[in-house]
Amino acid sequence: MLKWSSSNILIFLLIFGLHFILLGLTTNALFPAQLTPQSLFAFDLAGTPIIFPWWTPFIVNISNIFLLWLISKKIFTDRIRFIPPLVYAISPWVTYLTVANSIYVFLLCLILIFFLGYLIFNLHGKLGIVLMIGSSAILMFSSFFMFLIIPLGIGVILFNNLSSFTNLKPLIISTFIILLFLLGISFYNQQGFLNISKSQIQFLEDPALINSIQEFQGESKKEGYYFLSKLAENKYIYTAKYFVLKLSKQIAPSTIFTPQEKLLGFSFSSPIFVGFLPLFLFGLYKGLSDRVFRKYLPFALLLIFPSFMSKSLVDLNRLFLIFPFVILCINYGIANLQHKTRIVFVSLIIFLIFFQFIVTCFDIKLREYERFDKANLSLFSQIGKQ
Amino acid sequence: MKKYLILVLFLTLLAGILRFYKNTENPPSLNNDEVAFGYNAYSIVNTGRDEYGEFLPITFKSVGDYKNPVPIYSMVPSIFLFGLNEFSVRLPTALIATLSIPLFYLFILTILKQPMVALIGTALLVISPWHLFYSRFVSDHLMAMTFIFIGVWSFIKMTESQKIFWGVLSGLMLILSIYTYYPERLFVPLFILFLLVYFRSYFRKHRQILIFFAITCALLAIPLIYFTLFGPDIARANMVFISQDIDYTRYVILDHLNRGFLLSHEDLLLIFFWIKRYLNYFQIDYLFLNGLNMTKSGTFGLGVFNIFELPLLVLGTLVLINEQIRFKGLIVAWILIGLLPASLTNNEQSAGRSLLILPPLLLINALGAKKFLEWLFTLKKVARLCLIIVCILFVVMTLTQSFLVFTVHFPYQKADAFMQGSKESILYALNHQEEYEEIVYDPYRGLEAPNVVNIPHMYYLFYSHYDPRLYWSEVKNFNQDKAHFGKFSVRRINWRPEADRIRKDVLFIGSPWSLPEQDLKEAEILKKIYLQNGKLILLIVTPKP
Repeated sequence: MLKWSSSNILIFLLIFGLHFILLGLTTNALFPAQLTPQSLFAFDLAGTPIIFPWWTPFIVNISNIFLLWLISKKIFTDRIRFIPPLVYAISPWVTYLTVANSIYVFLLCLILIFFLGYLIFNLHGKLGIVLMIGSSAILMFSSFFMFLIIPLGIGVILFNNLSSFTNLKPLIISTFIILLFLLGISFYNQQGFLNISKSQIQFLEDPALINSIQEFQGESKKEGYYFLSKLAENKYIYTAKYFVLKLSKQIAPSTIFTPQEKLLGFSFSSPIFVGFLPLFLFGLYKGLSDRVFRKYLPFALLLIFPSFMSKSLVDLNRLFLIFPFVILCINYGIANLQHKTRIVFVSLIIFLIFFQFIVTCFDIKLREYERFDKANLSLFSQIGKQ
Repeated sequence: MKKYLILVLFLTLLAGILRFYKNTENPPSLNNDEVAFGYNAYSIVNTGRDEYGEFLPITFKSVGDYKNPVPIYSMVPSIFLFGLNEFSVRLPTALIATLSIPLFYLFILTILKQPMVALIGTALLVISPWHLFYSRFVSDHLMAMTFIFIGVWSFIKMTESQKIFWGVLSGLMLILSIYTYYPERLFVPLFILFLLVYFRSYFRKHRQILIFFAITCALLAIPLIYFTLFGPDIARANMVFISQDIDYTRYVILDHLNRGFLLSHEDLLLIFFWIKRYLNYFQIDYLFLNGLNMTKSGTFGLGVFNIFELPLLVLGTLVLINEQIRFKGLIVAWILIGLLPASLTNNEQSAGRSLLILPPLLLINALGAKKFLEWLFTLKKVARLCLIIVCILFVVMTLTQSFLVFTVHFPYQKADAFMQGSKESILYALNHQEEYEEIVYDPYRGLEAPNVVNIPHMYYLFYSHYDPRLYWSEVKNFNQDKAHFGKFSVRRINWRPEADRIRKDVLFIGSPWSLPEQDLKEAEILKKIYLQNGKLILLIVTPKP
């Protein structure tokens, strides 16, 4: 049962208050500019595209905040369970993608429901499994990547002994049925499936890589080193390097905690405030030493997959799915701080976060629309203020 | 111990070969800084004064960038012995780089007391692309980095031996680095402060040594402090500060569109822009894929480390965190403080400015390598052999690619950045200068656009071995990108019928941007100068109306 003490209510009011301030400023600066709408996978495949209206992420966000609170209640034991929803609420990553009507906000909600279902599965077996089945079904119908990731995710759960085959039998059966159904539609509409997969998987679409290999081999040939060049500068080695580069960019702290990769292609706001970075690194370090934590790491890698498959080095829109993992690492870091150091360290971090929050709010109000205007991005289907 | 010394000697020899072999041809030309350094050193050799007539200056005005004195004074002996040429100019850097190899071994040995780790670190330094690249041309960055690690080594020797000599040497080396390269002016004072705090318990018991160290630092630093705070050096700092970065001014503060006030002021955004720049130095592409900028942007050239060092860096970092390592705090502080100067300048990433963190990073890599070898020898024989073969193949492939980048792709793709063609054009002008009343050189060149700015007058002075006394006495008109003295003029060429096109007895040297081939008659073109990749970079013409 959820206990609604007055302190809980006050904390939630604060969280929502801060969230709506940031969301309001971002909406005022950018609305109605939106990302090109993306239809749900299964409906697109069936030839009847369904696109969410612009207000969907605004509603979904509220549920995401609650879901993160419920999840952290299960994992963490004291007042720090409010940190994950707070981090979510005040992160520009959330507000920008919400205003831009990103489908990944919706997908994240379903992933959180799935994870919550997994956590409560042991205590409330039926409710947990129902949440997992429901959310996984909707995920697979909604997104091409989830169609691939959900079966793999279940495989990871079984492989890492996070649950037994018997316990997950209803989930496995339902996933299998949905998989067959979607494969059936894909077979029926092969061209549609190919088009969707081509538009989603653009890992090696960049011609610059192939051109550079040819140029390098040409230069080496002129100097008489053609054989060496074939050995050390071939497309397999370059693809491997590109693979390493892309993977490292997804998980680099500067991608998530600084505006290294611009949000929506133009913003100077960091996806997550940089004050959280030390806590994230500490939480990750502590987590890697924890055997149980390490078992959940493959899920994080699976959630990177959509961004990894994008044409650009990093797609912050798709990478949004990794957000809960980052938040939970931050909280894990706080939980593992020694009590004495916690006060001093966290005080400094709170100051930095608060400072950046205020500066970001003013910056969005004063300059963000001009940055957007200057960028003049083609991926936005509607440009300009009303 | 003897076998380690023999190996270190062998590594030093190998390092010397890699750093000296054809270093006058690759990089393919002396760049702007090198000719400026060289000519000022030549002037010191002949007159004791710089190109402006200043007697033994502490700061060299040069082309308005106020060069540091150590790189120039270090060339004086080589120019005196071998004359003013590419070899004598590049000799000091290559020599310091080579001699730093055994010193680096002693440095790691002193810090960690592990000969195996010291040997591995030394081997990594020999083949380090970061160190190798900056060893092959005049590099104030590399000299300064060498002085710093010798200074730190001496400092630790001082704390172990309680001998004043090491304290004086440490102070000398650390302060000498400040006279060598600009970023050290920020790094060294902060780092000395850190050292004093880190070793505070030692200094409480050995105050005399602290006094000698402090006096050495203070006495040597006083002239430079004065110039930094009150002299023209501050102009240099303003030129390269992060607030001048185009990315910041154009895309963050939008050319000062809204200045804001208090918490909305645009200067506050600089803090977060700086944090972004600081964390950029930990990117994988910078460290292992293209950080040295030796090939065109967007391609995989060479990172500051070899790619096979990636797992070593990760392992070494874990060793540093989890195990008891001597002077752990010092190693970490060196890296964190060392990135401050580079991150505060107007470059996305600068391998030169961040070179001073190479020693602690190589130390970490060496720790990682040792850990890997320890783990390797716990494996069964067959598995160990297979893994060794895979590792050897990986290393060979990486070094092969490094070799190709150094010998082929760098000269092909970056020759323009090293002003290839300038020497050839100046030598032509010098051989034919009697035939003309004026020699006009357009400083703007480049392959993609005329955005590479040359300093042809310095090449002229360098290759003509121009008498510095004559140069002082001549009337020189310097104004932004213009210069004029004697017959020689540096200015934009205006190749139009009503302007330069009709001038007689004038030799024009410029890029195809200022001398378009379609506007030139065959008879007017005296010489075409090409880059190593076959692209036309300069034309030497005289009008034939």
